Amino acid sequence: MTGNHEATVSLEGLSVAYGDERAIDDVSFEVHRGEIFCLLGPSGCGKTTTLKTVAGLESPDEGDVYVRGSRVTDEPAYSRDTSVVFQEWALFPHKTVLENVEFAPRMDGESRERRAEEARSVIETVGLSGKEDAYPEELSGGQKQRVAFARSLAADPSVLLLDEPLSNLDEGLRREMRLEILRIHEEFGKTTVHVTHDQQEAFTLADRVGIMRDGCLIQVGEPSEVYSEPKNRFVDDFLGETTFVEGTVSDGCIETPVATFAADAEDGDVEVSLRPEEVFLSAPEPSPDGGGSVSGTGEVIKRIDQGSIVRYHVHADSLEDRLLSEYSAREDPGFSEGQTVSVSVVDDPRVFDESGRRVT
Amino acid sequence: MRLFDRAAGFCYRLVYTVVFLFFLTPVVVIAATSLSSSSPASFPPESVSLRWYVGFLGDGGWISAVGNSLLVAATTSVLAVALGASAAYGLRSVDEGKRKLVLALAVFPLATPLVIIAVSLLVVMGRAQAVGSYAAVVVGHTVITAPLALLITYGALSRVDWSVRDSALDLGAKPVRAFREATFPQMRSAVVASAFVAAVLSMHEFLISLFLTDFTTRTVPVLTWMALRNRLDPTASVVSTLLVVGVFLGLGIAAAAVGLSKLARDL
Amino acid sequence: MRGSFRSSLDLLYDKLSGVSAGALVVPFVVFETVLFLGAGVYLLRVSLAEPTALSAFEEGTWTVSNYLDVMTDEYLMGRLSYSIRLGAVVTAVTVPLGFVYAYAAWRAEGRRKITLLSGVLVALLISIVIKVYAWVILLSPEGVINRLLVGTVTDSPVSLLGNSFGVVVGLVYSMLPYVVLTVYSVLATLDERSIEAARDLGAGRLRSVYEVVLPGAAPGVIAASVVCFSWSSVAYAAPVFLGSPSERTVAVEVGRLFTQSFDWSHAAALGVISMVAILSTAGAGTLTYTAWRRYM
Repeated sequence: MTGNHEATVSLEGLSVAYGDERAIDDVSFEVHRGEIFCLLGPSGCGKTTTLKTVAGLESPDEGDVYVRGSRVTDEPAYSRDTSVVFQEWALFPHKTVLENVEFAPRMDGESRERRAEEARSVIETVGLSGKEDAYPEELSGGQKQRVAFARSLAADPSVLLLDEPLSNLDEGLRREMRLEILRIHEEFGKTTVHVTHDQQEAFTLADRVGIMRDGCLIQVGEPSEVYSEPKNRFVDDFLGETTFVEGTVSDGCIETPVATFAADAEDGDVEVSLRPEEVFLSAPEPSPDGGGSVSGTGEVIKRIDQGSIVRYHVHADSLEDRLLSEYSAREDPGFSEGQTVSVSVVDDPRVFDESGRRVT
Repeated sequence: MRLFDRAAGFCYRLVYTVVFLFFLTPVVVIAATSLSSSSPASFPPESVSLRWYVGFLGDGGWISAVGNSLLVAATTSVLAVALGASAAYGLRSVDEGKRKLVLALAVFPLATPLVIIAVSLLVVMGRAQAVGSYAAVVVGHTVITAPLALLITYGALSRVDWSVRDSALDLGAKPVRAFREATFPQMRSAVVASAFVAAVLSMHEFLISLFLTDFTTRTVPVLTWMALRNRLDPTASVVSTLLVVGVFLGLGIAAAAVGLSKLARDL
Repeated sequence: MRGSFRSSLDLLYDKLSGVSAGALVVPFVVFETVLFLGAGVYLLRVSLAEPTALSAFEEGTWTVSNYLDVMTDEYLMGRLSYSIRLGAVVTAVTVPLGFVYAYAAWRAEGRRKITLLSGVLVALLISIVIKVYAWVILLSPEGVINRLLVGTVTDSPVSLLGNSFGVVVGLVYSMLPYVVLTVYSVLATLDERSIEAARDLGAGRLRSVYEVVLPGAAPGVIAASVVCFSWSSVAYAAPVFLGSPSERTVAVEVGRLFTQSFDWSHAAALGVISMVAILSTAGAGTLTYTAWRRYM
């Protein structure tokens, strides 16, 4: 995907504190040239602060920021080769679309004709031709979003920084803009750091994701890798809807109310994560072809048909929590609410110890 | 119950209509008497003439008072904005406790009876042998208008979107440029509003001016006051009418400069 | 040249915003501290100096006798009590009228709203001297009001000037714009739909105002009352012009002592006493009202 693995942005041991509170704590990562790197985490996890230290809008108490190999930690925002698309877009309210977009070239001292030409071409690329003389307040959310992108692109930065730029849009528009971001990325090939709390958004856009929590960077990797091999309980929980089932390890065996698994783990209490796609339902007769260990029966409480997929909420007889089971519409076994089914699960689920650390 | 409600509704409409007319009455009276041909001023006028307007133009005392008022108002306005608006800007980076103290220092002069401010300045200016100077009356007016400029601008700054300034910095604008291009346009209407309020207040202020001016520096309200002590001089109506017209012209200019809705919000 | 000027400006700005953009508050603080607080403290000092017949006050002396003199002076204490009563009457008239008007302006829409608000603006943007002057013309024995009254209601002109009536009219007029704007600014933060909700639930017009609007507007009404009371009880221009010597307020007496009797010590003491008396009356009124709201 990324032909050249030279790092365009790298953060080394970055910490920012507000008073006694650590907004980010010892964060290090590298962003490769031309890739989209998503910082993903719940609100307040420090992802926006991290982005702002890259932009130079926040100065770190410890650590360093490098852009294209040179240390920029002490450089002010205006001389850094980065550009932010802000969450609320932060367009200049008293300037027209054209004036907004040509702001950066103007700061670079380019001639009037030259910068207008540049700005017009970027405006055309984002699909806003004809809106050059409009003021931001006359535009829709999606249009403002495009202006914000155009304005940053016109600065021709080495690194594009996106601070939850889609969080103010409604669902339909958000989906459309995700594709738009991919298209723009393909066209301009900008190294991009994208901050979001939306897992779907991150997985749609990212070449690699970094999961953050409480100011710490927990895991970095390709989306599929992070999803299938989460480092700890938090990542597992954050990335998918899962049910945690309590269990006990003894003699290389994990005993849970749902099923028993073989596991290479130390004795003690653990939690087993069962994702909807890892729970299988079948007709009540004992039929071992479910693909996993048969674990008893349960009752279908709810069937939710979401169109392309079908979800079942199942109350397993041996369990207080309900399990989720998910099928594509094509493979839907077609159980109805109230029906008794036999429940089976995969035989190698992810297991976490009491501190949330991944065991197997 | 319905009848009672209807009676209440009628009273309600009656009250606010009467209050509205009450608000307009003095302006109508002043404008009408300025156009009357008789003296002393009476209302309604018996016949219309411009003789008092002509008289005003030939009256050195009134002309110099108007000049004094304009000079004092302009200086006060500039000083009030320079002190108040810049303090409001600086106030953001001052810690909580000090900020409250400064805000208290801004509210206190506005809550103090004008006569106290007037006489205490009279005492101090008397010691400094400055009573009767332009400086004395400008200082007096600035004591009450700088806090207003501070409060108006401070309110507007709470509505400033600082991420717009950040984006200007991010796009390559140096701090001064970012202030000029991104921050100041957002507070421009507040600064214009402060300047306008300070100028109008200074133009109308009577008590401090009465105590701190002398024969050469007295402003329009002071001269009006003196003129009226003797008899109802229609020239006072002329000057008052011109003052009202001037204020509304100023309001129009300010509104045109920053947009009426923004100005209304910041006033 | 221009470039280097600009970059040194940037440097200055960096310094200011880095270390202390807070430095910008210094000129204001110095100005107000010296010329407002300082002057006030000096006035306090003068009030504690012995008076002398030769000059404004005797320098370097300390005494509290000025305060005792003022407080035992029947005439001056009468003026103080008149001022407070005047403030109370003006407040009692102005606040209800102002509330109704502010409510009307708040509920009105479009052109009507603009008209009602411009009415306030007109009254706000004319000088106190002009206001007083206009009321002199209107209320005089030969004025338009008397001309309407004579022959229809009475036989001879009614004296509307030179008494408390004229003073109250003038003060109500000057205070109304401030009261309306204060109440209006609080009303503007309320949700208009809450009234519709109350009406929808069967509350009558008056009742919905009483139950829903008044509690919401209470902070504005209190603030307006305090402003109205403390400003009108120290009024100067209206009492002098629309009243007679028996309508003089303490503010007028302070001015007279200063400029005519040249007795700065007693004038300063009277000023301090009046300010304390009026502000504590306003404070006591607010507290009583708050307590009443809480326990009723």
